[in-house]
Amino acid sequence: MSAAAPDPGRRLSAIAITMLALAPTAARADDSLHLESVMTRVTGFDQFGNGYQAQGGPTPLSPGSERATIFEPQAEIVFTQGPRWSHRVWIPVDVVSNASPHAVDVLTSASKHIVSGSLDWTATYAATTATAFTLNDGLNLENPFRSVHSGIGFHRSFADEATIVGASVLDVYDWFNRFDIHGTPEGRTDRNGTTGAVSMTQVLTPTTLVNVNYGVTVLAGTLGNTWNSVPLTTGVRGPEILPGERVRHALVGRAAQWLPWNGVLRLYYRFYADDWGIVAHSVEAQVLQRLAPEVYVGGLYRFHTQTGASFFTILAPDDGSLRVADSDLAPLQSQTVGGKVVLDLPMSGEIRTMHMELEVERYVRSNDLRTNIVSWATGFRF
Amino acid sequence: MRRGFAGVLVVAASLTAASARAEGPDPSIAVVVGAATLVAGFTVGGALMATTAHANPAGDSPWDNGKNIAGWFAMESGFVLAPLLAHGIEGEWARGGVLAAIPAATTVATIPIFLQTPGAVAQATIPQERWMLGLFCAGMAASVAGVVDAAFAPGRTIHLVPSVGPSSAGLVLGGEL
Repeated sequence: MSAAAPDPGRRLSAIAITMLALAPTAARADDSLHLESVMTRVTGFDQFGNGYQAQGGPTPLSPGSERATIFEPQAEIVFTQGPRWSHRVWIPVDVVSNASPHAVDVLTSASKHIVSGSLDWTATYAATTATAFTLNDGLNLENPFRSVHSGIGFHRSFADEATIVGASVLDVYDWFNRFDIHGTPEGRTDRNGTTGAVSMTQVLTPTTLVNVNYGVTVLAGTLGNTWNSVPLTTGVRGPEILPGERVRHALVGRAAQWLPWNGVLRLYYRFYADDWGIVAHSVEAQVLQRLAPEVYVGGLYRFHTQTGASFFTILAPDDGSLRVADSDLAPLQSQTVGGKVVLDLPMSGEIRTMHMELEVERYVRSNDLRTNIVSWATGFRF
Repeated sequence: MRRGFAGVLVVAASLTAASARAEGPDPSIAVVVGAATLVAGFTVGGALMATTAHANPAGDSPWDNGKNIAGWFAMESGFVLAPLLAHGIEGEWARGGVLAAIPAATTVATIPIFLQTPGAVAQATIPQERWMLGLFCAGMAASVAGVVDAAFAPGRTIHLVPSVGPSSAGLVLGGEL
């Protein structure tokens, strides 16, 4: 091939390089997709109360309204890919009233509500019948907040699945707009949180299951929303002043006991502590009772108590020291009472089961917060 | 030079061609390596950017830009390396390279934004923010898909590989038939 003539060799080489990489296969592992289930849920949260982090009270130092209405439709799709991969895609959408920093601007109603959405993709690979690995990635978008996360986990079973141990790491990066307490935008800021967790599930008896889980989270960056305010002794409000780091520990124990009258008792306890001074205990009991092959009902009660952050205050000196008036970080107790009805109807054809669920909960907190929660779910298993 | 290059192609084809894979590496290793690479880059980059975070502008510093840029591209580098290494475990470097092309492209496409606005992480305009986030998420999704694909390597037992020689060019069909 002469140098002066057109050079098909160069074109062929370029094509060859591309074909090399995408070498077609005559036989490949089964990677066909199969839809396993589709679930939809709509949840409404109707929140009432007041908190010192919010402005708008009768005086600058009074707590402001925490009134909010949240409407959350969500969808969950589970499908398998070949014999080893299963994928779960979860898509919740939140419509929240009075939740944006623009709410401090009483001259406009542009931010009367905010719509946010998330996409969470969990892919699980069954390496063997006893071992599986999980990839968890996703994003959350809302005004003025964006969050992405990535994680990996694994679990392995022993003794014919009588014991299951697991471990995981998850990192969450939040990138959000920065505002002062008057709602003036000031660019963007961010934070990062890394969580490591280990767990063990053990079958104690043919009717008893227990689980223990420990997780530690390290947070760094801007750990508040930047527009929460704190009443000051000077008679005005100032911004929160928070540490740049936070280390959180959570130890959770769960137990499930089958009851001989076709019921289940679930118990839950969580111990929480962090280096902001919060120590919390949460206990929950849930009873599920099957009424018929297709129907069961449930009731739950949950109690939570916590100390406040060491720098929590409802009236702070204006001396630059740490301060926060967020009601979520205050010393408090809360109670949740709820119930649900679940229907699993067998179907014919491609759809194996139709699932319907109605759940109602009432959440009451000692520092002036109450929330009514109603949730309706419909789904299909294939 | 042309012959030498063609010869290199033949060698490359041989090295990257998937041979009979009954005893190939465990694909779960590929999945773990790929996923761990993705998470590691994500965590390092996110932690680096968080070190420059301030609740108000008074704490901002010009030195923040370098860390933020390094952190952003550390996260995106993980997206590029994850499918490449996952496929490399299975001996499919070329396929990994192709599947890493999307996250690589989204990473490169982010560069002009930082050239225009070095402080983009803190001061991006809304259009810039949308491009940054859109490219970031596209790269992440493509990276995860690439890692998932690596697990199917054992099934790719028969390969069709082009061959280029000094005076000939063709296709080679090999593997288990």
